[in-house]
This record gives sequence, C-alpha cells and structure tokens, in this order.
Amino acid sequence: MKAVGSFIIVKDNEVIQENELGLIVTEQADKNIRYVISEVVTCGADVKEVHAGQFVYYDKISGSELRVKGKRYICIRERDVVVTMNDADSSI
Amino acid sequence: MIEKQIEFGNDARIKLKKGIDILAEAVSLTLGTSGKTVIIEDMHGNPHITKDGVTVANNAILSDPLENLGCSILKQASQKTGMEAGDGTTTSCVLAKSMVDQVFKGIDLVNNVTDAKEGIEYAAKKVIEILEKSKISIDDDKLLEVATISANGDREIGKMISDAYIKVGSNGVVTMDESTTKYDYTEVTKGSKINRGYGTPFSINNFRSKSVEYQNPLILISDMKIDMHERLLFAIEPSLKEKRPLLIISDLDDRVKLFLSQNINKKKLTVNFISPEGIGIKRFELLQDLALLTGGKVMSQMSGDSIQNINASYLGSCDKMISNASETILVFEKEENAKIAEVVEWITQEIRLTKNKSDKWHLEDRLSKLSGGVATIKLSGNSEVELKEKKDRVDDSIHATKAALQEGIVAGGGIALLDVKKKISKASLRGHSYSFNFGYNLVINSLSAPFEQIIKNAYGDYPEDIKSTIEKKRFNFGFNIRNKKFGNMIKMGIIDPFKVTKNAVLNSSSVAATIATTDCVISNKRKK
Repeated sequence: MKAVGSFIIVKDNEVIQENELGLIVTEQADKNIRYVISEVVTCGADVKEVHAGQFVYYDKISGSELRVKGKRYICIRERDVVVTMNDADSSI
Repeated sequence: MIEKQIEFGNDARIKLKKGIDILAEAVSLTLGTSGKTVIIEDMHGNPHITKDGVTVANNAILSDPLENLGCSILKQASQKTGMEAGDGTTTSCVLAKSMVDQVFKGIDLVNNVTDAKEGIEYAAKKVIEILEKSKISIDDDKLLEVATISANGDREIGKMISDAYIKVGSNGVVTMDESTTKYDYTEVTKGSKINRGYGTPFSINNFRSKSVEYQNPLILISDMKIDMHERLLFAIEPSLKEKRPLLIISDLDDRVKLFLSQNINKKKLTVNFISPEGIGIKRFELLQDLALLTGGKVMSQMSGDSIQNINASYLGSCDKMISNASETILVFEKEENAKIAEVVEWITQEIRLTKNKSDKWHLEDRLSKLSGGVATIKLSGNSEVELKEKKDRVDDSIHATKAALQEGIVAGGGIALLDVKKKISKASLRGHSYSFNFGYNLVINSLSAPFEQIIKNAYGDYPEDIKSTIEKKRFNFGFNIRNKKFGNMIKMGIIDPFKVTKNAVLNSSSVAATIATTDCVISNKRKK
C-alpha cells in the first residue's frame, strides 16, 4: 500500500495516553480536544515533513476513513498535521 | 367551554351534605381500635385492604358533581389534618360530619350566617385553648403508646417506631423501607444521609449488598460543575499517594464522569462520585453543613476558587461511607464539634421562628443531617397487599409519633374532646346573637362524636351504661375497648398527639363554616 500525492494514511486505533499520575486519558474522556494522535502508515510522494512510522497529531474533523482488507485507516493531508513525533511517549 | 350547572339554597346544600355523609360514613368505619377494614379496588381491579382513613378518603370519587364537591371539601379538610399532623384524618371526618349534621338541623332559624361562622371559629379557638391546658409532654414509655395507637394497635410496630425515635433522638430521621428478609427490623446509622446513590456501578466493592463501602475516605465537596478532569487532580493525587478512597460530592461533566469510570474500571482509582442535593442557596447550605461535618472546605464559585488556589486542605474525611443505588450514608464516630453545636443551636431556633413551610422543611432536613442519626424501619409482608397496608399504618404512626414528640399528647380515643365538652358547657355565653350561639354550640355539641363513633364501631350502637358511667366521671376517664374496662386513659396508654387533635378540630370546623355560609354551588355538567 502506497499513498498518492499529498495524502497521508494513519491508523484508526487510538493511542492510549497516561497522565503524570498514571491515569488513563482517552479521547472519549476529552471530546472537545480537536487534534488527536495516531501512527502514520504511509505517505504520498509530495509529503515533505511526515514519514511512515512516525506519530502525528492531526485534525480529527478533516480526516476521512477507508477500509483495506477489513482494517480501518484514516486518510488525511499534510496540512491537517500539526505535530510529528518519533515516539508516542516522548513529550512535545 | 364547559357547561355549568347552578343550584341554590337548600337544594345545593342537601346534595353537598349527601357527598359529605357518604365519605364520612366510609371513613368513620375505620376509627378506633375496633375499626373495620375497607377494601378498595384499584385501577387494575386489584383489591387494596386498608384501615387507614386517608387512603379511604383519597379513593372516594362520586359520580354526581354536587355530591362529589361535598365529598371533596371534606376530603381536603381531612387531608390537611393529615398533612400537618400526620394523622387524624378520620377524626376530622367524624367531627366534620357531626358539625355539618347540626348545621342542617338549625340553619333555617339562623338569620345571620356570618355571625354563625364567627361562632364556629370562636368555639374552635376556645376548644384548643382548653385542650392545650390538658396536654402532657411525653417520655419514652408514652412514646411507645403513641406509636402503638397510631399503628392501629399493632404493638410490635409501635415498639419498633418508638425504639427508632429513642435511638436517633427527636431531631433524627425515621424512614421506612421494604425488608429484604422475612422479618421486620430497624436499622440505625449514626451519621448523615444524602439522598443520592453512587455515580457509577463500577465503584461497587461490596457485591453482596450491591453497594460502595469505603473506610476513612477523602471527601471533595464542590458546588460548581467540574468540566475538566484536570480540576480533580489535586484530590486524586493525595488519594493515590495515601492509598485512601475518594468521595466526590459535586456536579460532574459527562466527560469527567467517563474519565473517572474508565480509571475506576481499570482499578487505577478508588473513587465514588455523587451529585449534591438541593438547588440554589439550599444546595450551598447543605454542602456547607457537609463541609462542617467532614472538616473540609467547599470548593465554590462564590469564593472564586479555581484550579490554582485549591490544594489538599480542601478535602474532608469521615469514618465510613456506604453508598447504594439510591442513597449515601456518611458515618462519623468523632466527638462533638463545637462549631456543629453552634449551627445546630441556630437552626433549632430558626425552625421555631420561621413560618414558611418549605423553609421549615429545609431547616429540619439540615438539622437531622447535622445532629441526628438515621433509623430505617424495614418492613416485611407475605403479599404485596399486606405490605402496602402495613406501610400505610407505619407511615401514619411515624408521623404521629413525631407530632407527639413535638407538641405533647392528650387523652386518646376521643376522650380529650369529650372532656373539653364537659368543661366548656359549664361556661355560659352571654351577649351574643342567636346566630353566634348557634355556631358556637354546634362545635361544642360535636366534640363527643369521635368517642361515640369509636364505641359504635365496637358495639354497633352506643350502650346506655357506658354513656352514663363516662358522663359521671372526671377528666381523662374513659373506656378501653380492648379489654372492656373503664379507667384513666393516659394511664391505660390510650393517647393521641396534641397536634393531631388540634388540627382535626380546626379543619373540621372550617368545613362546617364553609357549608353554613354556602348558598349557591356551581358545578361542571357531566356528559351522559
């Protein structure tokens, strides 16, 4: 699977986060937060700053879904991404 | 527009009286120890067996509009007695019927009904004045008698209720509930009750009783809606560090609830959250009281609390917390707190002064939460029907016992009113018009009606020998129907709360006054 042009494909499953007390904070518990984290699967040729395998914070409202072999992915563009990280646990 | 039907004078009054008579007859059957039971068909056709006057009255609806109006007037008067004093609906009905009967006998000779009305009101006031002189404040033994008599003579229920009041004190709360076993028993908790259940079933840690039970929890009290879970971290942090459970008493946003439930479910947190009781300033007062009890502070909008200036010193604590689906009980075993004593003193005084009913109720609620314990009487029954009848009686009895604790007692079985009649008829009334005297006398003459009705319920009529013996003797002397013996009613343990008798006289005389002054009735036409 290879993304075309400026498209980025990210995984649909949520990255579970913990706060400093070790408590789980999920998207469900914080619905008014617009940018969510996910792992990048593949990027198109025109994408400059994002690479596959990285974690990105993206605008959850602009993404749309696709299903490949029964698995759900989300398709976004580079302009929807605000932050890239090499590791989900690293702090910004 | 509904078509109306207008009737005047005697025609109207006769129909009103018919309605009053029907209801009074049904209700008065239940009066006294040998009162009869009444079976009522409910809307699904099931029988409901009762010995309780209120239940009978509530179910009486007549098809003739005028008769139904008469019935409703009596119903409202007796319900008012029930609401104010918790008992005495039957006595009110019997008194009112007797008064109305006399109104009809002599109303044609009365030329000024307003005078007659004044006479009725004056007489009612006079009766209560005399009654007040003969009332006695009660001790623990008498409490048992009061509870028994208002449970229609069931000594076991009487014992449970009086025990409950002795344990929680006169400021305490006594409630009732269905028993989970097949026995009746009383549960007493020393502490404060909040009528709110656990926020999420994930918190449950006692699966046998389906409740949340914490020892020595931290308590967070807030009157604002917490909309971010970050605002709770200051409380969660000490709870995790000290390994103590946390109770949150506050309104929470759905997302915060979700956050808590998620972490409770993953066993990362031990938290129970409930929303506070009351609204507006009343909610704030209740929370302030809780803060006083727990030794914490209220996180409040009014004091401009935000996430920056709040720390762990805002948290209170208690010895034990038990929370089930419908209520939460905080148990305190600490010694007296001087501040609480001050607040209790203030509230007690305020209850005496305030006239507003809902304010009074709120203050009593606060008082019971601050000072008293909570006793719950658990009732068992073999069938739904039996249980319902039992609940009616226990409810009556709880109210009557409370009324007796508040204002004292008088001789029961209708004797107190009979005594008043003996005393009052000696004092002659001069300088008033015929109409005034007519009103005055009809109230005084009716005072013997409750006693006569009790005897009638036992014997079918009023035997001459009982009548002559009772009339000769002095005050508080009466007749015990149970063992058919004469004697001092108070010594025999046959007593009524003063508040009940007082309200019965007041409300029934107001019915008589209404009927006496009525000359026209407008009712809705019924569709055939």
